[in-house]
Amino acid sequence: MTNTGQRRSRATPKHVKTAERVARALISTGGIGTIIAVVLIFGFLVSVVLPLFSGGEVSEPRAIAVRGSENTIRMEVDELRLIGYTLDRDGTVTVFSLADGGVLERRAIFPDEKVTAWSFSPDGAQCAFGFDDGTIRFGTIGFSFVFLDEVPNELSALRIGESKSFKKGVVIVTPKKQHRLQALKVELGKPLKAANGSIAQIDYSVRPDDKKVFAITTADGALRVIYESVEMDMMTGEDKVVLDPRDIPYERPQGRNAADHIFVNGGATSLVLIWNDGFGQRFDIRDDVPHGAVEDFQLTDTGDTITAARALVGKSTIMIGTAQGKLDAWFAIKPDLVVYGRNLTPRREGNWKYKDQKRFRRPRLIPTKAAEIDFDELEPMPRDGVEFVCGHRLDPADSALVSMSPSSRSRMLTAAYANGSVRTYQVTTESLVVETEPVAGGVHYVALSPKEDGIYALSGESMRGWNFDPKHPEATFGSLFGRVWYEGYNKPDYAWQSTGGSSSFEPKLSLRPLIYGTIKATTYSILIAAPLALLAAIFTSQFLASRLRTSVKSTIEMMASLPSVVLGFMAAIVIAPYLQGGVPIMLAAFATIPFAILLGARLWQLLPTRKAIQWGGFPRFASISVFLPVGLLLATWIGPLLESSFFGGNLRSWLSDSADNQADGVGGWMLLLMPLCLLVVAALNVYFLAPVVRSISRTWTRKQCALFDVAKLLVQTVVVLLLAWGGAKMLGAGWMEWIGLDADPRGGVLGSYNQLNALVVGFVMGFAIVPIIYTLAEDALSSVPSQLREGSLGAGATPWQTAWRIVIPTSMSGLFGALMVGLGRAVGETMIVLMAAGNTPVMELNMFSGFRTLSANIATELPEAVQGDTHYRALFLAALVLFAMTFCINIFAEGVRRVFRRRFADL
Amino acid sequence: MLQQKTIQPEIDMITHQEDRLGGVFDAVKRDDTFPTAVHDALHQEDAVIEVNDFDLWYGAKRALYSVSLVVPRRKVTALIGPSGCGKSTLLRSVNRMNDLISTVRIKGDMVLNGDSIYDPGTDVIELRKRIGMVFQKPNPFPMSIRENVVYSLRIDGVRDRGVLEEVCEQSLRAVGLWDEVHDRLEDSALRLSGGQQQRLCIARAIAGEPEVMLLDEPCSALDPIATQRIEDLIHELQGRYSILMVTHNMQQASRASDYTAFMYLGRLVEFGPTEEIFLKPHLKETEDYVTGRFG
Ligand SMILES: Nc1ncnc2c1ncn2[C@@H]1O[C@H](COP(=O)(O)OP(=O)(O)OP(=O)(O)O)[C@@H](O)[C@H]1O
Ligand SMILES: [Mg+2]
Repeated sequence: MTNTGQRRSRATPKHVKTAERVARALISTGGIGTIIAVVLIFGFLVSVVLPLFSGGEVSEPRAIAVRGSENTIRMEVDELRLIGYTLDRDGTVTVFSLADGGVLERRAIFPDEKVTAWSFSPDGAQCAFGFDDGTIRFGTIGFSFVFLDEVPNELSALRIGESKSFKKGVVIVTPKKQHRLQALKVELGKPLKAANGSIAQIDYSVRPDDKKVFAITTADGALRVIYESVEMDMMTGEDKVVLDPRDIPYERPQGRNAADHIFVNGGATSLVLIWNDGFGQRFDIRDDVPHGAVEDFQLTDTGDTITAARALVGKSTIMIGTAQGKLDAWFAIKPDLVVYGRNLTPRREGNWKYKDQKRFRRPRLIPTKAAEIDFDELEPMPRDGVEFVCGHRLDPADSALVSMSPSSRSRMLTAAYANGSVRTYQVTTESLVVETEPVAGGVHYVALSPKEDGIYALSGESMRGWNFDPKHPEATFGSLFGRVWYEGYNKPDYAWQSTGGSSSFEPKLSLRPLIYGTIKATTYSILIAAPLALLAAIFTSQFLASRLRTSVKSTIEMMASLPSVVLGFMAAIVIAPYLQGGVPIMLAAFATIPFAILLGARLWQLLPTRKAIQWGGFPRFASISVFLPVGLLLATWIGPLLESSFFGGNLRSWLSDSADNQADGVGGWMLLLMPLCLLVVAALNVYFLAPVVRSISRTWTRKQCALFDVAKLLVQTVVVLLLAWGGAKMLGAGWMEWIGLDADPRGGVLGSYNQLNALVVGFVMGFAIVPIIYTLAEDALSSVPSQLREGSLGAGATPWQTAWRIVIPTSMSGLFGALMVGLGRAVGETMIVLMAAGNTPVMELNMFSGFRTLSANIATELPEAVQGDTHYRALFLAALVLFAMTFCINIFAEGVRRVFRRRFADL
Repeated sequence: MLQQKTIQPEIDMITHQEDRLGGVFDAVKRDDTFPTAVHDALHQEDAVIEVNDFDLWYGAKRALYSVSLVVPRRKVTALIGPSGCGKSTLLRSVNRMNDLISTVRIKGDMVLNGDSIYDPGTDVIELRKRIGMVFQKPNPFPMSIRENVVYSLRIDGVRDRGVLEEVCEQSLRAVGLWDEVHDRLEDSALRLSGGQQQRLCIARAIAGEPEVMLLDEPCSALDPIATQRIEDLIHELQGRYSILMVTHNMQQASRASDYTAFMYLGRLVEFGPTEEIFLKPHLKETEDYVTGRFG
């Protein structure tokens, strides 16, 4: 029966069904699409990153009909791998085609002289020779090309990419159909008289002012540094090279012949002599006044001898190959153990370093405080403050190392061994990139092509050539996430520095400083945002009348509409310089503002009951805006007071431990202990004082209670200060040292002040994430069933008790979710940290130092990274790590939410 | 098309019945107060709560019209009346739960054991501690059974374990829940059945040693058996506690209460011993209502 008496069809109308189906399809496509998009992005990131970890590749060898001999002192191939040359001890240059080994040219470059010493720069074609008559010649032996204007008939049949021997070189047709003739170019300077006797060893380097510095040893045992300068000849108008030789006051170590190797480092600041038994000496040649040896060292293990020594590109690292097949990298570091006598008896000043540091692959950690130093383990630093150490030991082979060829563009190095095996290493990461099948008959000389795409090994019978692809040897798991000992660094360290000025730059690709920066940014901003946002949410949802609540809420939500680039800009241009001027005030404000507001609340209780109730709404809320400035004012008074009484009048100079600020660590400890003391006093209050007060205050009037509360707040503040001061005194007076820790608070969360620092980022990024945490938290708190709230209030609980005991625990999952969303936002936030974090990838706990985050790093560097190279892929790895971090945060958040939700499932 | 039954405006309905009924409808029509018909038996009772000419507005809407009422000590007083007549409003006015609604305005006063409830100097928190309240829907807190029961002691800062244990046991025994839950006091209260939850809420109210208990339709969300248990419980509590209870169920009112107050459209119409209200009411409106002729 129907109400209208008519038969009524209750079928769902078609269009409703269609709409239902369309909606369902849209929603599921959207959902699945999102999942697919995330998976695709993840897959894409992984696909870009994965090649980083694939090893190098080398082809099957190709035999080339070129012979070498013991006399071969140099072999090189050109960058297109068309031709190569060998140079023999007698000065004969042989140019050959790499296609078939056919000889293109053979000539003697020193027809009338006898070469006794030679030096080839690892950076290019430059070289220096020394002769038996005491002269030296500087020059270049390298490859050059010309484009042929007229194509001879014999070459006209060549197609693009094909090559053919022609005259003294090889012609190749470029993609633009030009005929490019590749040939050897030899240019030698005039002989310059450098010594009287025959020259035994020669090396040279170029100073930053472009002057060449030669170093030679002569057959009669002299060690001489020659500074070259170019003067214009007044008569002829030609440039004239003038040599200024200085003998180094030097006695050859007892029972030793002339050194076997000589190296002048890049920049020509020091000179190293090496004997084949592993002994070495270093000289300081920074200034034109020569000095004796500044340090001696043993480069090999006992019983081993050196068979080859070459400098890597940049000439700061010397590779030492030995008869036992070991291959070590040595470079100079600046040990930073600088000891001042301040806390020491007897007083010791000056620069010191650990003895026996050289063969430690991992140097001792240097104590930050002089008191922890055992002087028996130390020796004075060499006069130039530099020490030569073994930074890397590469995978040793079981046969003597014969020849080495450093790359001219990276820290790769190809080494040939007596048993015929040829290995290519990446020195920074200590990785073996490829190893070829042993070449029968042994290898005399090995060459890595200029573009690192070919390896050539010259044996007595023929030459072998391999096509080579190193892939990404600079990126290994260890170098991307672990400590690596970079050239010139004191110790293995985490560092990110992807690009540098020169070809000898060593890329540093550790993601650790970036991950650290990300965590630091997130921590500081959450530390500032979470309490603010959560307390605001609790306040508005539990204590404010609903009319006021909506307007407050939408005001706070409006904060979210500020673009983060504006916030970052504000942080860098306005807030950072402003804060810099008032660090003590800012630190004081952390305490005085909450104090002022608490005091305000206590004073409010002093109002007559009638007034307190009458003004309980908006006036009470507005009174905060009175006490906030009071807190700030208090800070401007207390901050400078603290600064002058605890920090020697200048907090920033105290923070950077500068020598003219003699204030001790008490003030710093006070700052650090303050929150702890606050907790202690609060706990004492809740557990011991409150029950007593409750029992005796039953008979008090409201006014008496309020007065007591004001007094209590003041007393508590004084107690917190005294506690912090007492604790700081004790910690400063040796307690920390007694348990083996640092007695000075500097070096941890306190340290030198940088204008753009974690605190600035914390403030501004905190400001950016407050709205989102606040909104979500407010929603979570408001969605607690009202009957619970009423139940608690009805039982006589105060709004605060209700919030603390009922509302917050019940909405825990929502509050936690809000925090996690804020965290996720902070982790991925880019613009603010890009502009306000200083972008220095350092790893310091210090709240006053800058940092660089993963996201800011990607934003700055990706645009200039070359697609597909190691740097580019490392940036994608950074993106992947960021992705993983946010993903983990979300998974964790979801897990915790689930736990809470299950607990309150029956609500 | 579904034909909808139009909801008659209250006034229409009243006009319709006017010929049969007197005073109350007249007062409603004039938007005026109505003098309550108070039975003589009440004059002998000692009052725990006195409501004196109490008016309440939700914004512009007036919900209580000059209600005067005396809640007798250690007796169960039932508030009956059709839906929307202001029973809950009156009940929630006693412990000032209406303060939570910002639009509420009141006039008049109530007195709890000689202390004014609406005096500006009254501390609402202290006031509520003296009054126990049980809601229509069981609202155990999301914590253990034990913590639920001793909640009022917790918020007073009581830490003494012995006291807490004892209050917990006594309160649970008083509502007959002890035997059912004494071995799982640490379990979440949310896992109890609806009836158990409501008894737990009553135990929670009892634990606060209230001077009066307010029960707002304590059984309306429960099945008949659970309802029966609560009614029995109220019966048992009778004589020990002063109870003001709202109910929709006439039988419940007649079974469980000593006194019954009949409310209608914001006015307290008739107030007397339950038997009299149900068997020989003074007013015809009351009779009509209790016999189910309207409402
Ligand atoms: N928060 C409020 N805001 C505005 N009006 C309200 C509010 N609460 C109740 N009212 C109105 O006040 C009147 C009395 O409501 P009340 O809840 O006291 O009725 P009741 O007698 O308890 O009804 P029921 O038996 O359905 O629970 C109703 O007309 C209702 O619409
Ligand atoms: Mg109701």
